[in-house]
Amino acid sequence: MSIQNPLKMSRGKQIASLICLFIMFFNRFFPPMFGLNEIGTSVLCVFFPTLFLLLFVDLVWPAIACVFAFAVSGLYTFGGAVAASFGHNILWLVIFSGMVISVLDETGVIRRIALWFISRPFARKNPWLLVTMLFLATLLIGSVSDPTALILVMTVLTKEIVQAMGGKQGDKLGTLLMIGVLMIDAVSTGITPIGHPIPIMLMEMFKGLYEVDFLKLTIFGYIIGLLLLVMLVLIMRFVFKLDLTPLKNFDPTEMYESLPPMTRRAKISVLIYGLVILFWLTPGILKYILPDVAAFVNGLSTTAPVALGVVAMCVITVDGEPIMNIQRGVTKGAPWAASFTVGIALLLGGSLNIEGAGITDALAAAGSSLGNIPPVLFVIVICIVCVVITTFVSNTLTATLIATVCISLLSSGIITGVHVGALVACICVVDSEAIAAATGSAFGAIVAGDGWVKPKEQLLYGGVLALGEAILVSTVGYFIATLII
Amino acid sequence: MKRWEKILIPVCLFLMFFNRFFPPMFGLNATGTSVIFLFVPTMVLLLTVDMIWPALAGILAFAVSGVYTFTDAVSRSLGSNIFWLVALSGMVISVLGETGVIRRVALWFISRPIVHKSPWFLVAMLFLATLVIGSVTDPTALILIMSVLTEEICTAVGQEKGSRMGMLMMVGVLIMDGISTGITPIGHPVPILVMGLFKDIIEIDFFRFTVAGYVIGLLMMGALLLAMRFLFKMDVTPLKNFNATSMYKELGPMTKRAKWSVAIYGCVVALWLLPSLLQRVLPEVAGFINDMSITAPLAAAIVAMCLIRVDGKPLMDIEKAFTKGAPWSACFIVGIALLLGGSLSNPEAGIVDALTKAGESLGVLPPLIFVIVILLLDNVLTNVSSDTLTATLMATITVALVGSGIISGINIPALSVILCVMNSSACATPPASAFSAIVAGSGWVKPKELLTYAGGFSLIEALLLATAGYFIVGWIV
Repeated sequence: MSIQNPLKMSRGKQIASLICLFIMFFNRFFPPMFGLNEIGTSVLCVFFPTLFLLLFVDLVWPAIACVFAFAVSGLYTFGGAVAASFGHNILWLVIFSGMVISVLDETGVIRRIALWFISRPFARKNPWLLVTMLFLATLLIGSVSDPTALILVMTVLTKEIVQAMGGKQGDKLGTLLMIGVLMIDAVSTGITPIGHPIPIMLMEMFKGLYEVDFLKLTIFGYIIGLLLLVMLVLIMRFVFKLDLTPLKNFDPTEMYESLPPMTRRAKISVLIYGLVILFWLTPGILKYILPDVAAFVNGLSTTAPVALGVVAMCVITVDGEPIMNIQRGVTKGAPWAASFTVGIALLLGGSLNIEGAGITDALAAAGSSLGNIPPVLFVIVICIVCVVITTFVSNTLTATLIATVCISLLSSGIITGVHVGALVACICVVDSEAIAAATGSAFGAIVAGDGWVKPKEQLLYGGVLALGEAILVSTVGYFIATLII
Repeated sequence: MKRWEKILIPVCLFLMFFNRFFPPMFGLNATGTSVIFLFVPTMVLLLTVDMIWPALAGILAFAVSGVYTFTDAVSRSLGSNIFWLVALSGMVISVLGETGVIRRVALWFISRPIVHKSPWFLVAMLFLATLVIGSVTDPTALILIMSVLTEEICTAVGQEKGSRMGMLMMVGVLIMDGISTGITPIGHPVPILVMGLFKDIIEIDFFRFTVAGYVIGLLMMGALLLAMRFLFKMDVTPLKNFNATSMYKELGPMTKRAKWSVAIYGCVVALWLLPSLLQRVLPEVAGFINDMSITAPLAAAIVAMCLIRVDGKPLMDIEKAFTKGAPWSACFIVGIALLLGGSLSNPEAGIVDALTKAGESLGVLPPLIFVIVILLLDNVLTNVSSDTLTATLMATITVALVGSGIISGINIPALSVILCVMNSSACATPPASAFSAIVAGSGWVKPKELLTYAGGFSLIEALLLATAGYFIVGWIV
């Protein structure tokens, strides 16, 4: 997720901001437009300018303006708009997850696990196995943690490997390994809802059409994640013609063994986070054995386990210090800006379905002339469009945009025959693939700013990989998802 | 973590999370019993252990006990309008604090020509500046500036740390700083929280609260000056030759940034006060502004502060405002306070009904006694624990007792004003409040002196508020 610098605002942006704000705040005086009634017109007059501001101007203040605009336009009460955005469960899920993961991050456990992976004895047999293990480590760690924290650790590790073998910044080997790690880092964020805001947000937004199960989404995610890893290795080997001979004699065992023993603090943090994950996954398993318990845990919502994790980290002390310093967790660990975008995305997504707005009906009337589009074609188009947009703008906003389009088309009956659950799973994966440009995501920006990958190389290699991913996910992935979800 | 905490925390958490397996108690139904076992342990943890995580645990426990769904519990606490009001006003006020405008206004007050007539006028103007600035801003930001200013004044007239005059002036500024937080709901969480908690019984008008608050504030200032003069026998002769004019002139012109910030915050305050004034002239406009809720003007101010740029930089750096300006721990306490307060008066819990029954045998308590008892209790509690929690406790007790008819004949708006003033006078011990801790840490006032003078005055204050204050406010609101 890219956080644009609010200190840099051109005159053009300022004028655009004023026009957008005017449309957002004064639409109650506009006549009905676009074949919609007054409510529908108001919804669109808040929806589009907000999206525009979020995409092009800033990620935080337009969110606050939007909440206000919904109240001024009379679509929600102010309290209602606040509750549906800043008071939304999912916003707090993002905040609490950020707090818990930041504690985990501080303990150095990510680097430890990554080193464990690449120091397995069989990885020494062939450099391709080593690279595969490096990617696998990224995939597995990333599937349960924050991609930005992870990419910081993984880029350092990749550099250390390349430098140990006499490589340097600018070598093709280094560039391609970085791109590979970046791609898998992005994939890992989309494959599970564990600690990842976007899949959870998408599950929430599509709830009215299809309830996606947490566990099933995770299982599908790991399968598609491994397939994408194979695709990446094959592309590296046969398309990009990566030459791994320098890595032949690389032995990471020493790096792993030189790590100090794991602290008690780290062990307890991992344990607590492990329990949180277990909590998230159990309802899917317990459904068949203990339906009452499963329903109870489900009733607590996905936010409760991680809130419990925060409480546990504050209560449990090691050497007289709690595992989490709550003041620090709230100010440094909690991703306030990111969570605001999520909150506002949920509000915007929900606004199109406001009772009496009639937007879905109007779409249905307009779309009936289109005839039936084959579902698979629809999924492919959506995935490719999603990858292109997410490369340049915030992942959360891309997901919001794609989800609202899909929900409108599906619920108005313009598109039929699509397995909604499978579609959601595919969008989750491709939406996080913001790797080809620095502006698409924080992890994309980190790799771009690192100097090992030039912007042109990032666009070329990242673009090829992202496009390949979109095609694989929307065809093979979609098919597998229909079987699992 | 101390030994007693190791026992207290598990016990409280057990009561909070496992009460669904308890049999109904205290003559209440299952929900009512659960509410009691959520309310009391959460309060105990908040008061004794930490201010944030017990709030989270409380929200979770409400969901686990089945009193609310988790989503409901979140939107009633962390998603409540008032939670965000506190967060956003902290952000706006932090911008104001950076511009140096607080010191400027304070210096303006003490450099008026009238102060040259008598040193007591200087002291009075210093207190008045604290009262007036504090009535629209954050007491912690203010005390940092006022304690430095007081120190400068004392040092300029040859007083050092340990001098009686310096100590008493510090205590006086601290007391006024506390009072100023309670007299208006402008940017002050506690009055807003109290108004929110009393909402089910009566809607308190923002504007009238403010007017009554200023009257009470001035009254208390008078009482403080008299106490300083005749009770504490402060000797102000060293101040005779003090002249603040040069200090004020040194400031130079106000920056453009400061002017914009003040103008925007001024608009927010105006929007808060306007609905009550416009009610008679333009009822529709007043209704519209009222419907927007008191959080909306702040939201608008933040948008404006992000958009308006001076020298290429916006007035507010939103990232910084979020991490540094927003008072998250205060927000969490306010959030949980709303959740806890609301749960007690939830009709399903039947607590108010049970109280009504229990109270029938008690007969009706005289209102005046009740007001005095509540204020004295509040005075003691607020001086040893969090202001917000004390206010929650007092307000919920009052709501329960008044709602059940055990106490009648109370003027709730009047009570809420004096309760807020009393509640924010948390100056007698260092842990009572952030502003008190700052003064205690300044080296000018020893903890024992704080207890004697600030504690002594707070007793006078409690009695004055409960009697004269209650009646005067009763006329206004």
